[in-house]
Amino acid sequence: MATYSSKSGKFHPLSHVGPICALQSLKTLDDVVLAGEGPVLKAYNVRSGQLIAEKRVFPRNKIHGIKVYENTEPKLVAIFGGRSLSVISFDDIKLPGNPVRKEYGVEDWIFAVEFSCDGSKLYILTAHNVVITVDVSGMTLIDTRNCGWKSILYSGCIRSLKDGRVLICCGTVMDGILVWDLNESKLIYNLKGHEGSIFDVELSESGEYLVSCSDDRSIKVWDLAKGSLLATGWGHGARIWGLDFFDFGDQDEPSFKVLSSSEDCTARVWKYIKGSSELVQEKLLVCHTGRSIWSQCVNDKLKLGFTGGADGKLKIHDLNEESRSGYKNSSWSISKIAGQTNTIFAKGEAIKGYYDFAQGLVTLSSEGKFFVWKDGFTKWEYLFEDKRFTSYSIVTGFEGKRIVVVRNKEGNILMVKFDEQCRQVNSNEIQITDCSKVGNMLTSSTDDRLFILTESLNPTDPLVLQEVDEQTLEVKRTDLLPKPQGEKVSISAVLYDRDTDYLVVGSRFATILLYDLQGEPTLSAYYKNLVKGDTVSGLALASAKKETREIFFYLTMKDCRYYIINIDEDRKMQIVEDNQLQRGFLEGLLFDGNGDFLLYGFKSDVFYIWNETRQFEVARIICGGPHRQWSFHHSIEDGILRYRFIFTRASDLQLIQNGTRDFKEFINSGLHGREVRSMCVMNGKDEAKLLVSGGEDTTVKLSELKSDGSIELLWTQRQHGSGLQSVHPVNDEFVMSSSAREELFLWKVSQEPRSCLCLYRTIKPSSSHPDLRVMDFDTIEIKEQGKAVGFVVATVYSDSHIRIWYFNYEEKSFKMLINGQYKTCCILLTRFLVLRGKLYLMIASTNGHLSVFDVNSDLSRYFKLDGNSLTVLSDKFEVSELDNLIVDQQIHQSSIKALDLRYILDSEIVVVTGGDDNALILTRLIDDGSTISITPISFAPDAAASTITCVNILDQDKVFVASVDQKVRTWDISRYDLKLIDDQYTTVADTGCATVADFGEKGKMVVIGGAGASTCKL
Amino acid sequence: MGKSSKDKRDLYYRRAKEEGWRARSAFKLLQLNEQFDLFSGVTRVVDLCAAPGSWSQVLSKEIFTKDHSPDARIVAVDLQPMSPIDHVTTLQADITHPKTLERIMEIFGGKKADFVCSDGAPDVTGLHDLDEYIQAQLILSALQLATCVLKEGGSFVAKIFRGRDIDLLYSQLGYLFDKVICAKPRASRSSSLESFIVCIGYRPRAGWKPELRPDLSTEEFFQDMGIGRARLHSDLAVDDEERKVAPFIACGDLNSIDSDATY
Ligand SMILES: C[S@@+](CC[C@H](N)C(=O)[O-])C[C@H]1O[C@@H](n2cnc3c(N)ncnc32)[C@H](O)[C@@H]1O
Repeated sequence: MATYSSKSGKFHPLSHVGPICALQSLKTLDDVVLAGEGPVLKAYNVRSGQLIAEKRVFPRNKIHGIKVYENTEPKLVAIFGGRSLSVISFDDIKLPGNPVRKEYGVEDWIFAVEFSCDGSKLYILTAHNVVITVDVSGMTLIDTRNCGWKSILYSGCIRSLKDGRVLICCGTVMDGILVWDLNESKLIYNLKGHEGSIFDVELSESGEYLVSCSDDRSIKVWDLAKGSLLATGWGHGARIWGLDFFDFGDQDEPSFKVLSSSEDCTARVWKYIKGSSELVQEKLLVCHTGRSIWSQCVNDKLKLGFTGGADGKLKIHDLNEESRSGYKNSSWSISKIAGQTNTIFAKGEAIKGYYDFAQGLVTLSSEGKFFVWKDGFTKWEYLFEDKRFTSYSIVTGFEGKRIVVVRNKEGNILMVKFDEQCRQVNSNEIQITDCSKVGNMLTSSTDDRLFILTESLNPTDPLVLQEVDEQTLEVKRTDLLPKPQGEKVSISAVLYDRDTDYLVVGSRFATILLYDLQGEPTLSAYYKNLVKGDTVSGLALASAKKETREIFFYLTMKDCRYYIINIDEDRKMQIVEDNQLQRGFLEGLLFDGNGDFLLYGFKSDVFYIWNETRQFEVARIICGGPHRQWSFHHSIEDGILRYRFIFTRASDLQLIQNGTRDFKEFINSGLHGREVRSMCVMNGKDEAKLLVSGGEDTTVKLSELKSDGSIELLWTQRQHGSGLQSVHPVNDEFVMSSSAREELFLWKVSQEPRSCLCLYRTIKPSSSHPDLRVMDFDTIEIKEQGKAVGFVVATVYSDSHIRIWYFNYEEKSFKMLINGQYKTCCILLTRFLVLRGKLYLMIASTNGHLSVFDVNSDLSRYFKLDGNSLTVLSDKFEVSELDNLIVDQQIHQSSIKALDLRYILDSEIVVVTGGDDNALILTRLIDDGSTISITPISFAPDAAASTITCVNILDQDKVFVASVDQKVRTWDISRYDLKLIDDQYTTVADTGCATVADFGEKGKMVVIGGAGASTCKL
Repeated sequence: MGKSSKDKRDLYYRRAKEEGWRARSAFKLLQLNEQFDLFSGVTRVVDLCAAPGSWSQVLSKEIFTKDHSPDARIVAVDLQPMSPIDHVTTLQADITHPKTLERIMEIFGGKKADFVCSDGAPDVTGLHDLDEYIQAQLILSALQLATCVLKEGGSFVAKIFRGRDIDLLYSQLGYLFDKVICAKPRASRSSSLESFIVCIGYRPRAGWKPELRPDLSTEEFFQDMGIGRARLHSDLAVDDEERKVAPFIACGDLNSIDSDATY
């Protein structure tokens, strides 16, 4: 058997995003939270989100637990992971230099540690229910104890109680929770009640309560004095991994809360009240993506919860929103409003419409009574009554101007302007005359121009556009905007842009209208069915150019899609970003204080605000659903998003307003929450690089890859239906991704208004229930006078099929050119080859063979090779059969998982392959003019201890190799002979893909993907 | 493990149904046998983590031929109950529990086994290093049983997941067996980390007598054997554990059904 030893590598690790497996907040230092990110301990400031300090603690193991010893201030930090342990002085975390002084080890996996009350001893609970006591000052073993029950554990907790007892709690693999006393080494309880493995147990500080969770998805509260079950809570949709106590009530009202976090990527707040047998779920926090939250902690003083996900995100939760300054939660019934305003409501009279103008809310009743809810939404005032404005009136306003606009079905429009104290300062009434029967009315308020757009119920009538003077509330001008002839239109959203003087009108029937307001307003263009769905629900400006009259805007569709749309100088509409969100109904979009892109809408009975950039839920308000009156007002104050959601329930008005926040919502935006399967690097704006990654979580993500190695998430595309197989660039503008269900997607990358990704085209599957995985693909570009006009792509499938297609950017269609089958085994990789000016296709399969097909005779009918690209000779495309297998050579024992090649001459290629068989093989492919031969020339049979998944030839001398044994290695291939140069450990588990980014002068960087992503300088 | 819709369309799944095997795992053992001739001369077998029992079915067919030895025995152990298989004694037990060995020894009447196999795998959590650790503990338990019940020169086969510390296990097995090979049958997917260690030629450690004491954990059992497992030191020093790469052998005809392919 081959042996190898670890050598220090020449890879310089830069950055890592991956599962956060440990979190700890401090009692004596509020603003700091400690996180274990891989083997690195990080300290963050909770208010600013800044990284205060970081320290590499273990050479290999990930940090799975952090415990701090504090008296008046934090003194010592115990860190553990696997069998490794370290204890450092808290102040040393800030000292420069890596790694931590010393790594200690015990003989078994550590589940919990706890300091003794005086900090002189450390208790360590290992996986076979043995507690090791260590003297902290000398880091020496004192003793090991057990309670006689040495079964395997899945979780544990140790508590040093003030009365001198040390309690050990263990979650076993089969149903029971063991509680024993360390000093007596005696079992106290074996708590039964759960089913399955116990994934977390926590003891309250006083030792009075124990909380546990198990495979049965329930959370149980136990009385430790009696050893009895007190309460059970249900709610999580998958296994629960973490629990924490917080918010203990006082003696008179014994109660506490529990924070839980789960495999279902949600965290929940539960309340226990003494005497109740139910642990009640109070709050649902949708905060992570992929699968699993792996760590959590609570700062009980600040009432903040922290969760660390498999997605690499560190999320901070407000566990006491009600206490924040500015928070409001109030409910007003009709009788309460009547009472305060001294008015009498008729039987059945209800509030029918309202408009929030920031300082107040104007409401209109079904009998024409106008009220204003003012003084920070604490007091109601009756304004006046106007019986003309009853049930069928529209209540809206001009945003930011404190002007309310009300219109009845007769076409009377009443405008009322308020001052900051909610006093009426002006009003005006106008009439719509150019409309036979008024339908929908929309308003637009942009800087100094206010518009009212009215649609008639008669579909052939033009739209009526009225411009209103902000001061006088008089109509400055009225224009009739014709609708496109013969097209169904029903207006739903409007956007006016000052620079281009365009009025963009969104409508039902997937229609967008563009009106030119320069001079005499005209219908400039209209776009139908270029967006998917029915109703446009929101529009917002992204950017506009005055000279070229080019505009970029955001658009949301009610059926949960959003777009970034460009209308160019020729009035041609192009989609620059498109995506879907499976979240009920999407009502609109906004940007928060960080510039993050937020979406809001309704899903079943909840109103949500979703941060689409960072992938977490900002707010969730149970309101009963979208089929009732509601108002959503938002603004940015001191960089924080402040929102107010008002809705009608039964006949009551409910208001929820969030308070201020002096802490960050998240630290680290993270990446995929499941394994990264394939990645590639593309050029971004200016000198920037973009990372396109495809995950097992079915998403394709676009991130910025900075020269310091950090990865910043920009977009998450949710268009694939299954886990990704391959992601490769076509050129700097287009990238393709493939997955199961025969999905091969072509994406266009744009840099305006910001780097984004939109789905350009997909290949139509060959059957109605497509099952096949598109394992890999390769492209050759087609150019005309140096400009890219299309490409030829070869795709390989899990049923041994091979297809070659032609794609043209203008025509936007894939045409099949060649179709065939290799054998019956799954093909894993493919590459086009050009040898002696002829085209070939090479494939690598699960049978360990490298095979080459001659595709030249078929393709040369349509294309001519011109350097590295093709030019079109004839477009009379027909499908031909793939029938020219010229070489089929076994190289590996089984599946070839990674491949890269380099041209030595135009007749000779060197191929490096990595297999499932641990082997790395260097092969020479030679075209001698009459035959092509594949000859393996150098074997490294035990090049890794597990499957090799990444092979990237760096230059003529070196190849980068990564494997599932979490090793990254560089091999020398200069003399056609594989020689190991470097090897190094990577914290990225399930190491599955790698890509190289060339920053020119700043050097080259490799990005390694798997359960997380790491960047290293080469 | 677990039937996903992916598994149901799998050709091995269909073939197992056609040929009467209780699970597609049968083909894994058959392909391992093709390569290593594991069953020749074998009459007494312990099949650990055996449910639903396809490996026991394979073993039963192999061993209980017309002129089988009167001493032949197959004991199948699993946490879950198993429906009866001809010539197989099923035991519903936890292989990590010390009492389980006693019960197996009773069935064998004190005689040793020729072959011990374990196809066990726990439910993965998704936290890779924890899952690797738990799988390793299960293998260690199976190995613990094997060292007590296996005859000298006997063979041991266990399911492994090839992760970052698998080479620690290969090294430790090297102390107990003449040959340690990592074998992957064609019936195992290339997208899966699953593989099997085939350990041939059991050589009990000199001076060590196998006994299962209920007060010793599996970890403690192996401490005394000196196979290179990490120890607890008074100064908490980290042991530099030996690592070895076991040779890899792909088993099964390359023309047989590809478990990665869609048919
Ligand atoms: C993949 S199945 C084995 C399939 C089996 N070899 C066959 O051919 O049908 C894995 C089995 O391991 C079992 N298992 C896991 N942990 C165990 C333990 N500690 N003791 C006994 N069986 C266990 C499970 O109950 C499960 O039935």
